[in-house]
Amino acid sequence: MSYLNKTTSHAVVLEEPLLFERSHEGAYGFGLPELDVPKINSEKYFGNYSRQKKARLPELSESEVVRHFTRLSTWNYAIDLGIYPLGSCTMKHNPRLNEEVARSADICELHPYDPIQWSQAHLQIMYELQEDLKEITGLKAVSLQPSAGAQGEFAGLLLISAYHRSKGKNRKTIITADTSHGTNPASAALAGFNIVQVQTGVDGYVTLESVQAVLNDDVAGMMLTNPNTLGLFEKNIEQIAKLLHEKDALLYIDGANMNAVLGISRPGDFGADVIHFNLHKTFTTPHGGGGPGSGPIAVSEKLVPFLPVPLIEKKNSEFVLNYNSPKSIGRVKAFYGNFGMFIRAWCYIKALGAHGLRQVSENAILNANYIKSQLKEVLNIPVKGDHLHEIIFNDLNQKENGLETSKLAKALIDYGMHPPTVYFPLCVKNALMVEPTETESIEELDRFINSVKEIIDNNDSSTIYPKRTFREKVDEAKAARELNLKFKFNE
Amino acid sequence: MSSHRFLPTTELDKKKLLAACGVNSLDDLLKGIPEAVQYFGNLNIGKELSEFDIKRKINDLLKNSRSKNSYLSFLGAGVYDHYCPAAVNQLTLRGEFLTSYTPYQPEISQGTLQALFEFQSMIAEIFGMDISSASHYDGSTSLAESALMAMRMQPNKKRILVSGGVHPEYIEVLKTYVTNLGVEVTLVPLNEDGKTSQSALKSLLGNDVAIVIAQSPNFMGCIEDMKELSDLAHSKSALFSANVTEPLSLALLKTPGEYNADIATGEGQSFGLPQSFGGPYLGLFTSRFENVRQMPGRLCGETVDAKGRRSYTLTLSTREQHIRREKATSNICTNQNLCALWSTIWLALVGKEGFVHLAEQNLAKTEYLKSELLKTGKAKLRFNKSQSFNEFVLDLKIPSSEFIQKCVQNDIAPGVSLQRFYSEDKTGILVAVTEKKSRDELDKYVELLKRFG
Repeated sequence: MSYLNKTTSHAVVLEEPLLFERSHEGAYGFGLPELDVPKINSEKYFGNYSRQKKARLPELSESEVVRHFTRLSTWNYAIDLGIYPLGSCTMKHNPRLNEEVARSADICELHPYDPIQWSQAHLQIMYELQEDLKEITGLKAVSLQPSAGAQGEFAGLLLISAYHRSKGKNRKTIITADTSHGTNPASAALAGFNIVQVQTGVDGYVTLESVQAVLNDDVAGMMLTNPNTLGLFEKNIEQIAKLLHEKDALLYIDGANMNAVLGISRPGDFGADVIHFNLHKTFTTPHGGGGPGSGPIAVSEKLVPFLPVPLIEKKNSEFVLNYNSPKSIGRVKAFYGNFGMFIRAWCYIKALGAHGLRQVSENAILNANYIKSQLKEVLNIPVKGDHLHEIIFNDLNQKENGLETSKLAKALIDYGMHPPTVYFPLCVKNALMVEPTETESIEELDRFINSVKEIIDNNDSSTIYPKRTFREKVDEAKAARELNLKFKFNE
Repeated sequence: MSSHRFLPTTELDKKKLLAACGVNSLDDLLKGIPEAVQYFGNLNIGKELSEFDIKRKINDLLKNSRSKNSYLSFLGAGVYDHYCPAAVNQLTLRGEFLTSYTPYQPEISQGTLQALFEFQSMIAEIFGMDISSASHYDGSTSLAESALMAMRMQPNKKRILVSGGVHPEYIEVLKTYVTNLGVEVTLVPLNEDGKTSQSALKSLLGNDVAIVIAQSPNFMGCIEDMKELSDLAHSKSALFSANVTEPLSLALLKTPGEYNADIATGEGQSFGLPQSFGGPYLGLFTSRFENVRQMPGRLCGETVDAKGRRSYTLTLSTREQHIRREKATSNICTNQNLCALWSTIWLALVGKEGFVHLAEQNLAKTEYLKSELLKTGKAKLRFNKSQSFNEFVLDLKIPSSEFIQKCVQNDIAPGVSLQRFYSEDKTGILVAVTEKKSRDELDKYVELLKRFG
């Protein structure tokens, strides 16, 4: 098969057992200075509170631990290896300066309760990031506290409910769209709301009529992703905002797709009341295999009094933590948020500046549209329109050839790349959602495009992909059935 | 020329791409955005900066924060300054770990997945519990999610009892999480020994209590009678959730499993993560196996590949938001994977014996400082009948603010003022000691107490 000769090769990839299986008695990888105070007999000291049996952590030397994790790392695909076109996830290059700065001792070793006069640089970085996010959204204030996008949603929804409560209203409904991320309804439920879902029209946009049909005095707000998860800018957004505001309902924007509109469109200008960012998407803090993220929220005037505490403020020339905000929803996490992500995002925004940020979005849009232009003949585009930073295909043209979405996705792995997001958004049957981002070159985009075309040309219904990976198709059903969630020690 | 060092597309490339798209200019690709909501201004966020510019800016800025090596800190209160071996930082810089996504495609994510399985195994072992999740945001949100899990398991019960010994910021987070859920959160006060009052707990307990939450070592540093609290909760068929903000203590102390906790949560920052001015940290969440389907957050499980080779994958995703939407067990999506990896490497290096030695050093140094401070006669231990691990409350004879200010002028942060959390507490400071403090440094603290106390 011709694909065997393509961009992947069998390099040196080693098997590696679990840490516990490597463990051998007496080895250790961490030395302590000699104890310079009298030793305490802990069992005597703690008596009944003592642990009965030592935790069976592995026993390994430093060299074994380094090798273990280095071997493990070679089994992962990563943005550092190539294109990672996961729609709505914005997998783009993570500039390395950000990592160096964030890990430098003076940045990362400060304690959150260190005296305020010793933490001024840290607070200034947070303050400046807040200011930049305000400017990028055109909104009035920012809280950096939420841990990730989903927590930003939760915090934003609590702000909305606090707003209505402050007016003596107990509104219980949130409108979401069928294009929304699963986190939207999940966050709304956590915030105590009932969810009403509107359907996207055939052209890929939420219509005024569909909103009107469900809008009543119980509606606290509406959550929309813009650009939506079909890659389209909700063209009725301004009218939708007006409609909501007439009923004193608020507009929540899921900012997962902000990478499309930096310096091009500002949520505050089209009527958003609250938006969350994913710093790990738009502002290149590394995804880290699934976090840590950071989910700051920006809000309109109406919601400012309810923001989480503490607020990071500038008083004269000093930066302070302000806990005195009587209408605040409280805290959504301990301390002030994921500072390690703030400094990375701050570096990124400084590196690009206003002009660079707009270039980011423009190039992201250009790259997505290039892929669209090259693949529209072979893959169906279920919702036509002016796609921005991502393009949604499905398997309609290919299904009869036995090439379903899942198979195409797994085949791409054998071509040495991560597949697109699949089976999302839910309103598209068997979706393939491609977001190349601005940090891919033409060559890398072509590698993706040509791989898709070759898979289609060489499709053989009997092949099960992937075949060339460290592990072939993984049996997910067995994992759920048997539920082995930890190492079983020999007793 | 390309327009920025992060962007590979040159002007020439741009022309090619536009031509392939069949448009003349980029504006043609923006026509899906109504003109009325396009932004035509220039964002007021400055010009692009080179790496060198940014470094210079950072270095200038950092003059306004204290350099970590220029002072001595005895701050803890849920964030502890433990040593982290160099290998941890360097291994977590590997791009394959750092720049990969959530492992939804297991065939090309086995590295992350095996590490998560190892993480879950070690955390479950340390906590003495059946199962651990693949991480949560931090200790405070893990604790809040333990309450939500208890409400899901017993939908008719509407009360939560939380010990006054739980980190006050965690309690605030818990209250925020249940804002709109029609649930009542009641605080169980501490007794004079700094432990949760069992008599108060008894009188507050009723059949409508879904969960009792306590922390040990608690916020005052005291080791709680967790077994008794757990038994009391169970006597009224409430669940018991243990919170551990300093999990290194579990090297020496009875585990949540040993005292029959239903859920045990904690903050994993102690396992080598930098203090990082408050985050990112690592939420730990463990539970009994029979409740696995009510667990929030990701789980990694063992399975096989098409050739029968051992493999790992995320599992039970039918609990999660991307499948269940509003019926999910949590809205969590991105969690703290790199922090979980970080602590997994740290724990692997520290190892079985090292974990105990490290904890013993913390205990010995803390006890040394306690006894030396007492000898000065300038302060008392507020809860001298209770055991502690690496943190305790020092009761000063002068206002804590005054003492702290004088110490700060002498380059020592002597502890966290309890007034920060309890406005009426004018004399207590919470002092934490880790293995990183030498005897000389501890003696320096004692000198300051002699001078200023």
